Amino acid sequence: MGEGEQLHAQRRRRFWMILAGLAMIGAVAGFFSGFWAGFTDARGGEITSQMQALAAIGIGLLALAAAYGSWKFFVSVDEVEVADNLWGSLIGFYAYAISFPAWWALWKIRLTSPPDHWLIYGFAMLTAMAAYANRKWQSR
Amino acid sequence: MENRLRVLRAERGWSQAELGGRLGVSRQAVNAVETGKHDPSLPLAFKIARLFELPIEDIFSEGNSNG
Repeated sequence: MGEGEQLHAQRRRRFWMILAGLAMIGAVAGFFSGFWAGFTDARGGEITSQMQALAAIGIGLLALAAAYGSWKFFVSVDEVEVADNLWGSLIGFYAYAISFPAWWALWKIRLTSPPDHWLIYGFAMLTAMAAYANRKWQSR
Repeated sequence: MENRLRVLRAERGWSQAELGGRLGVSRQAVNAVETGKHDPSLPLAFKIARLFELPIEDIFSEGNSNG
């Protein structure tokens, strides 16, 4: 293996380590939010101020970890990866910017139910991921 | 933009991963530049030129651009 290929392998390892870190943050968030939902349901939905404070700290820490992980990702990837992310984000943003007012207008003329923000959020995320995956597929 | 990256790389017997490692970019990035799917930034173009010890215009030339 040449000198460049060794550097490339190191780079790939770093990339996947950061991605694994970000996935871990998502897994921790999923585990604790599920645990929290089950725990509060078992108590009949009751939340004490101590539980509230603990949850707020947890959410803050997860948000900080996600922000740090994303920053670390962007400073370590190359310009093609950044461009792929920017294109994915832009197309995802358009999906949101078009779908929400369209649904809202349809609701206003009484053709649909009110806009479901989580559904639109999911649609925008899926569109962004599809655009990103398409670019990755083209430069594989 | 058109480029001679693939030819220059082949002349040295380097794989895309080898060139990517030397440039500090991924193999996919090298492929994207070689196939014209990505026009490199000026810093990357200068890095490529330095690595091959050629002027930029000997590697890149105007042509069809895919952005």
